[in-house]
Amino acid sequence: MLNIDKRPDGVAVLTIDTPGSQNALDLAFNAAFDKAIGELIADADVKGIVVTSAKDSFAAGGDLNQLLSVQTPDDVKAIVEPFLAAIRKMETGGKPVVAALNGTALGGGYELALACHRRIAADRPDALFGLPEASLGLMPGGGGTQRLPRLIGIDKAAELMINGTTLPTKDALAAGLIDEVAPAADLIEAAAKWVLSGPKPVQKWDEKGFVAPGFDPQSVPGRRWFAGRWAKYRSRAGQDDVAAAAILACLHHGMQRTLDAGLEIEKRHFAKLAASPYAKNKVRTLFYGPRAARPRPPAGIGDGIKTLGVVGGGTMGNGITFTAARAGLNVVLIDISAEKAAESHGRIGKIGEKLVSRGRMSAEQQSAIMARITATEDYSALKDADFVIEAVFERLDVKHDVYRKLEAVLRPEVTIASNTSSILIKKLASALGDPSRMIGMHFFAPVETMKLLEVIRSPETSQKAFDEAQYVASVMRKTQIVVKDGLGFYTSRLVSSLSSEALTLLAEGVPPQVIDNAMLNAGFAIGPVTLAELTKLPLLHDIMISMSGEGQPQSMKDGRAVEALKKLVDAGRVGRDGGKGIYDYGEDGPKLWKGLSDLFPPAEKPLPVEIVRKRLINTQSLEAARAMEEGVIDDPLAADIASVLGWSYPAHLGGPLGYVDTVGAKEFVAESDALATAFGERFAVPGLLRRMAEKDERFHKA
Amino acid sequence: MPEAYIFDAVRTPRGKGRHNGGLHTLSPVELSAAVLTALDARTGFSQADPEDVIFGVGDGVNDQGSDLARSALLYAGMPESIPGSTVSRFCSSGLDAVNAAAARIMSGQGDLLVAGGIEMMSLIPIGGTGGPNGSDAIFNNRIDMIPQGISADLMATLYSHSREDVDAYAVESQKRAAAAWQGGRFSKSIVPVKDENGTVLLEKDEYMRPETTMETLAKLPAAFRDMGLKGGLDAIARRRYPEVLAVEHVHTAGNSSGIVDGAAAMLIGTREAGERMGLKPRAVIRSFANAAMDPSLMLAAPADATLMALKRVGKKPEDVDLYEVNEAFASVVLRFMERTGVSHDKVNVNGGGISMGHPIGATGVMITNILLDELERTGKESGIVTLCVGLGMGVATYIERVEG
Repeated sequence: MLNIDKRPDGVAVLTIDTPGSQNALDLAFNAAFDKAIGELIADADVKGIVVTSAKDSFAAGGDLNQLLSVQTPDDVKAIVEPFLAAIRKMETGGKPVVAALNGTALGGGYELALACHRRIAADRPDALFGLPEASLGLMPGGGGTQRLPRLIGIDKAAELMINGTTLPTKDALAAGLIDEVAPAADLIEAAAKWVLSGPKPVQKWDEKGFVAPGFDPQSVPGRRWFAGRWAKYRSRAGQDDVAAAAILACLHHGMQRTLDAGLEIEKRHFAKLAASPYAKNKVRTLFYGPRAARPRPPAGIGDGIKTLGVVGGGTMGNGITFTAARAGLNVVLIDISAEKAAESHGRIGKIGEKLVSRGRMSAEQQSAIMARITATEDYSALKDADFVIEAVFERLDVKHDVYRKLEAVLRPEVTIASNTSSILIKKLASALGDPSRMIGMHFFAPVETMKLLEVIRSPETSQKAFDEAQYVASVMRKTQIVVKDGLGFYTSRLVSSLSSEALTLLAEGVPPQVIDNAMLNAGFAIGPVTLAELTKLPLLHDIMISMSGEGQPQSMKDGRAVEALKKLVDAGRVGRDGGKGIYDYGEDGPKLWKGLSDLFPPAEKPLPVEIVRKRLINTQSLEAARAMEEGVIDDPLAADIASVLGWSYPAHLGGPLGYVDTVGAKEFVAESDALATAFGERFAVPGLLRRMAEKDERFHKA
Repeated sequence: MPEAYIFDAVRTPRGKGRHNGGLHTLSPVELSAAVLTALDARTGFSQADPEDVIFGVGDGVNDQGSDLARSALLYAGMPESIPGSTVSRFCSSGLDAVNAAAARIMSGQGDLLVAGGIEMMSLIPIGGTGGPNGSDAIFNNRIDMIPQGISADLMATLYSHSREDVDAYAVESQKRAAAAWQGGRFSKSIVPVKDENGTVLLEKDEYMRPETTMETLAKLPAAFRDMGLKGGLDAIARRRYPEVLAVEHVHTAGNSSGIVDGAAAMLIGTREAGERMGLKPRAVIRSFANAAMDPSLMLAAPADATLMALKRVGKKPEDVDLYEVNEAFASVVLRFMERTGVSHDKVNVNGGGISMGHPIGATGVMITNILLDELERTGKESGIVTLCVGLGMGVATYIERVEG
């Protein structure tokens, strides 16, 4: 756990080495640390202490697992109090303590370093420093909200903490997060040298008359700063996403008091936040979910996959080509003519150029990527392809034609994946001599930035096809969910349900901005009406019709989406691209279209916005639960992260199934029954949820 | 119940709320003392044993803090036996001082009081007081805090006040103020401010821009657009008003109240107290009321307070001859007129805060003073004074002119 080396020169080197690959600053560690520090402080031979780590990193923070298991604010306090007490004792013990940061120090690890009297980092460009808790819906809870602003001022500290920014060594030095950088080999000696230089073993904030750098919270600039920052962060957060406000409150109130009083205030806010379901939802969907959803191809399966074939040079095909080439695969892109192929090649080039101009990639990297890409109309160029992704129009006949052409040139064992968003894999595969070679790989645009990938297995899909798809997905660094074949699979089924309900509300005369704002206020990044009309309305009309036949999702039964879309299309409204959709779109953004109320007269008694919101949110949860019940998707966490990554479902609400847990299955079922009574059978509660409500069960551990 | 009569009132001209404003070099206690001394010269109240001097102060901090009324009367050399206190309800503080004084008299707990108000916005900017509003993140979350400029634009959006509508209102305010000054309508009550050497610092409202036209106003940028769009405040306004797609930013420096310095004082008492001083009552304060609403939209409560104050005396808006509705923002007055059905020729007939400025703590007393003078000038009977207030409040006072 801890190694202590009491040197003859009086410097005690305390090396943290907890079990595992990273140092976990958990309760066991705290107990040992506290005891060790206490003994060293009391030891007359010890002049000062160097704290370092035996691992590659210094310490990457508190134990998220531990945090996920808390139920009440008191549970949270039981975790943080020992840590806070131990580092405060270290800070005020009367012996100088220096953190020798041999590697990355984040979260609690950095907070431990903040309580040391000096921070010296090894000269490693890959080490990171900071307090990233807010990016997981939490906030620093180990004294960071109080020590960092006393070190570098409120403004700089807030910026780092609320954005969860982590800084590499050079930037951390410039920002004041660390005091000094030393060559890695000399790190301990540099720390020892400082100890032996006779420094004052007192933090400046524990000295009388201390004034923190930067403005006073009660000054006019200070008050204005707090008001402005609050608005900026609040405007982007959902109603129940309050981490930013908690950090600002700790800064505002804590910085008007002593450190110890400020630490009490931080503890109060942290305890409330960490125990809240909203923080847990964020940790689960933003941290654990994507980790669990990393594709895990069997070892060696990708050894033979060097060249990827992509058919179809549209937005999706181009994005897939670029992303695969960036990942190191050679890519042959097939388009319908030589001119189209050349155009696609140009567009793919632009994707990379944009990244280079934003500093995200070097020009050399871009050249290397383009060198791996061939675009042609000639299918015979695919004869050496090891895996093919088809990304042509969503039409069965067009896709079947492509598969016939592919069959003629590909080696017989090569897997064919389709980027279809909704055509059954079984139907697609029926054109193939060997249907087992077909799998669905539904990417999201823009492919170069959207991490989500929906992998669809039909009962006929072979294990080989699936394993190879895993390999390609992992090489392309996608976060994947795996679903079974069925109308709409999972993501399109859910998004269609959401769009259908939004269009139904529109047909009932609810103004589109109310429908959108109801969800924006809940924390969705885009409202469902705006989302729906990213798709051209005539196309959306066709899609809704195709989702209305056999296998229509329950959530779309008796919906009025088709009716609404027909009226809009007949009135010449085409969607955002045409400038005229449900909204008018101009240079200044969307505006209300005055003709809308002729198509959809406002309801006599306007629906309360809370009911609008419930209909849109509950419909997603109900449909997700039905998909689980039918076995289309079997992992609730996958169902949740797909929504967060796929259509900006607010992470703090947990995703459609996490939301049921957050509200409570009993309460959710009662709400949905009321919606069904008032608005129709599309809110019918599936047996799975009713049973969960009876037994008080959850999708995710509390 | 004893009746509360207004015997006299004075006000300073309003200095620009900037470093070169006419009153900027005075301190708040000097300015307060000046207006009390002026009232005393006309009424002799300091020798008549008043119960209290109550001052409205919007942002009572630093040199404008700490019971300025008591400090000022001592500074002015008035008898130590006179108590002083301050009252604060943001923009209506002056009217709240008037109402507090009237309430003491009507309840028999005093027979002579001074109600006044003062604000030096050139020294203490608006919002300087502190409090959780704005800078306490948790408080802001709970009320969906938006600053009043965004509230004004939100009001304009909800009630379809166009940029032309609000600018036209502002042009009219400027015209009326200029005409009122020209016509000597303020000469009864304006007292020039002098420094201790006797030099006149200011004798006329200096914020006015009589040459204002629709064209000059159209050039002004929307004052709250950046904070709304870039600062995230429009998104916060939509939390309580999801029926808004985009907030229309129509308010500018030219159609919102001016930032100025000023002070005012008014003598209120029982008829007998006045008689003892040889003073005739000029008006009676018959009723007053407070109302409150959603703090986000914030500015629509003057109508409610007005209706309540009138209900207390069995009256309706159409029964009232003249209105002073503080011109915090043009939309505020437009909305007031829509809600009450009162026409513009009864409202702010001598201009208002848009043309002459709104010295937060003093305005309530100043516009009561203006209303009183105008009732006397025209022989009209009744008037309402009302102001909108931060965090969503409204205050209204109903007065009737008295024939000696």
